[in-house]
Amino acid sequence: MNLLMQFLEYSLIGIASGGAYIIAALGFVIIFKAGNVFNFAMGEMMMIGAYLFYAAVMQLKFGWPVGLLVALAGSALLALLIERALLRPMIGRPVVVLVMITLGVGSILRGVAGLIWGPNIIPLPEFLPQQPVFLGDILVPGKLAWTFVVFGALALAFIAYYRYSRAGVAIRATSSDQITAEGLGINIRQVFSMTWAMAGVLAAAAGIAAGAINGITPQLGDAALSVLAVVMLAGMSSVGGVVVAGILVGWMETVVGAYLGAAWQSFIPYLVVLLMMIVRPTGLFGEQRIERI
Amino acid sequence: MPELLNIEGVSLAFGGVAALEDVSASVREGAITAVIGPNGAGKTSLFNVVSGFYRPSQGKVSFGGTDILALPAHGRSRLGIARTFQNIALFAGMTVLENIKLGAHDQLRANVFSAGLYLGWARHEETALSRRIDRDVIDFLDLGEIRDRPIAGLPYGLQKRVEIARALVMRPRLLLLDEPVAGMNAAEKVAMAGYIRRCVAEWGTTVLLIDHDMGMVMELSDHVVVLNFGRMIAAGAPDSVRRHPGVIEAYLGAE
Amino acid sequence: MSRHDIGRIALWALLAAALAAFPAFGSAYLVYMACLVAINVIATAGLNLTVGYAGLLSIGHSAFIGVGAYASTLLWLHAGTPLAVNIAAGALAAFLVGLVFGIPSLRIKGVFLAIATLAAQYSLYFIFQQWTRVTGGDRGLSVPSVSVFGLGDTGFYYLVVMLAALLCLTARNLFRTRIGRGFIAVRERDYAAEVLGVDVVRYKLLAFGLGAAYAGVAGALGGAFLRIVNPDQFTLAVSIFFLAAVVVGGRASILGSILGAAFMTLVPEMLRALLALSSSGGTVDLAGLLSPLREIIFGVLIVGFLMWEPRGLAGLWDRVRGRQEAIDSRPGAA
Repeated sequence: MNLLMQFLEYSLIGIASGGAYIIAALGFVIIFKAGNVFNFAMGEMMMIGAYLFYAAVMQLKFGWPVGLLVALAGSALLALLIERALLRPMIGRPVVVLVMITLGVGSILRGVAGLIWGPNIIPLPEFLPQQPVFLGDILVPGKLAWTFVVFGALALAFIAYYRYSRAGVAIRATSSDQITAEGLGINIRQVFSMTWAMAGVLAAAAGIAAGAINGITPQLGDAALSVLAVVMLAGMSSVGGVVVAGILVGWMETVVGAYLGAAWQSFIPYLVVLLMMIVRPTGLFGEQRIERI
Repeated sequence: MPELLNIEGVSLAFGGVAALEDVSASVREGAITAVIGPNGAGKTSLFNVVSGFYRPSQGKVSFGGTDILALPAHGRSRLGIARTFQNIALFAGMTVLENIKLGAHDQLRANVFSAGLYLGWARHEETALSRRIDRDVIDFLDLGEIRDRPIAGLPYGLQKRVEIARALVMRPRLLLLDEPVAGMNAAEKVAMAGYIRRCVAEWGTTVLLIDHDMGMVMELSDHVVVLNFGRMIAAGAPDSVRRHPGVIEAYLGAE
Repeated sequence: MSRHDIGRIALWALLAAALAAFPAFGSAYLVYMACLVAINVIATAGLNLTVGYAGLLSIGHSAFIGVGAYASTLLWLHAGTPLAVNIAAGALAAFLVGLVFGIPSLRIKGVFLAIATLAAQYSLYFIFQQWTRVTGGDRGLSVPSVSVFGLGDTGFYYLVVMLAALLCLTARNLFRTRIGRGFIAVRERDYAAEVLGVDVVRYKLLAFGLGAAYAGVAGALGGAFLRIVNPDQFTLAVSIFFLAAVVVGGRASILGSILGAAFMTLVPEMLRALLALSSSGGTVDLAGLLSPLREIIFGVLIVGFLMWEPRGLAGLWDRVRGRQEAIDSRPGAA
């Protein structure tokens, strides 16, 4: 296969792997938009979602559609719990505190997962079609292609919901101006809970995909660093931009990894973040906010 | 008496919205000048230009002959310009005395090394400053009782006095007061007006103030400037401004 | 001098004597732990300067420790310079890197700054790991042993404890002067600080640089202490460890830095001792249990302190002392 074809193959794989990033990044963004909280425990929520799926399907033998439901619901419940018990009482506290709380929660989740399921990599059962997809001479692994398709659809569905449903409007109103939103009769506490629950579902989906591709370990949350890069690239306030950014980051990682090796591949998300923070902190699609004194 | 602060043709816009349009005003030395106008007229924006937070798109601002627009915000206090803020910009993590000491930040010389060591002249500097503050400002503004208390938890009126104390530590040539009596009761307002007059009388401070209490403003000021929608619509002695038709209309709103 | 003052001085003297005599009656293990705690105190105090006092969220502290460790060790290995010089070099190198790290803080705040420091830290980790020719890559550098004051391990203990005490004192002194006040002003309302003549740019960079310098000292000492320097000592997890030490100990408090560092260093050790005790008869997989348990306890501590004792251990201490002082001030007492 000539160089161009190889490049194209890497690119397509990269784009496909961006699918899971997009989903997790959407979860990040809506929590931040509504509640101004940066959820550093997102990676761990992905990890727990993956473990719940594993437990439901492999340990409790539920069959994978039910298992999926269990994982998504369980993750949503966990997210609600975190929001209600830990973050709601901390509204108004300084940023350091909120950051540390989500970091602490992440630590607890990692520890619990390690205790229950142990530190070793657990492969997920093959529930996605294994058949590689051929585009001409280019081969894309089946799992990746399917996750991309599924996630693409999920992302579009989510974005449509966000733009057009009443819930979505409520979220956007709250993110724009909490006081006015309340004045308009929007129950912003409900909005906070809702965004966390949604993020829980999205995290679980992304975690299951990541687990399907690489296996599950308590360290699965480390993949969230790439998600961070996606979010920073898109801008914390842009739901639509996340799709573009997710594809870009997925593509960059795979291509860099293929040509420069694993170390550089791990470095790419950080490099992206660094560049964005220096050049354009609000991201490619985020909105600029003027601070009045 | 000469003009200490000269504002010429200053214009400032945010996005497409004009906050100030071709505003000119001069502040006489040793006098009290007030800037009044309805909400959103641009008064605080004008202060912010003088302080250095906003760069006007046009115009000049000179202080004692120096063009201050060329200086960064933190370089202007050295010239003798002090300021208070609408929403009381005190620092909750420190005591009253420490907050006031910040007013003299420019005049202190300690650097990281001498400060870390402390035993030498950094300590000497600090005790000298504490003594000066006690002598000049604590008694002047009746802050003796709360001198070493943390800022958090102090009543509003007291906090406003502490903020003025901080502004006065370095015996500023120009004192910018943004709503010094907002939220105060009648007795507190009278006291504050008294403090302001004493500054001018005893130290020759020039005062430029913003406030909405018309009674106090008219009684206290020597000169009044009126802004509306970012433009200057009147300027002069309180009596003449009070009767100016444009001013009356600005406050009552166009019919 | 009042009775109160004499009492205070006596207490300090007692503490100093206890610290000095410690190696005589403590086991080698305890002295080892004490050294570790002292090194961590220095790093935590530095981070507290940046995060607690100046309010600049930095999740990249371990990078500075690493710079200090590598700089001091490389100087030692290539130039054979004495320990004091190496430590100073480590501090200086870390200071300069800290200044660079501080540049984003001029444009961005809060979480965004945290993320930028996160990315910057990994970049340094990447350099530590990839620049094999200089840093030895993953294998790292081996540090020759040093005998301080000719007393071996005990000598090192004295050095570390004295340095920690000195640096803590220095940090506390800063807050009696304009420098410290400047930091706090920048944290609370930087526009008001500007108007007062505080050069916010200078102070933000200084906050990063100074905090980094402290970390650099800790890194240099750590390298000499552990006899090895490798990239895995300077990961995100380590940065978070120190951030937790600051928060659990008490932000904007030097006493908090000491308590937090001691707490965070000793709790995992106590956990390990506890587990060893309780499973000495059983077949429990100790190693497998220790790591996740540590993480859970770590997380619970952080969340717990933040929710219920926001001023950390230092706040707890103040409350206990406040009650003590109230008791002392009763008429007839003392």
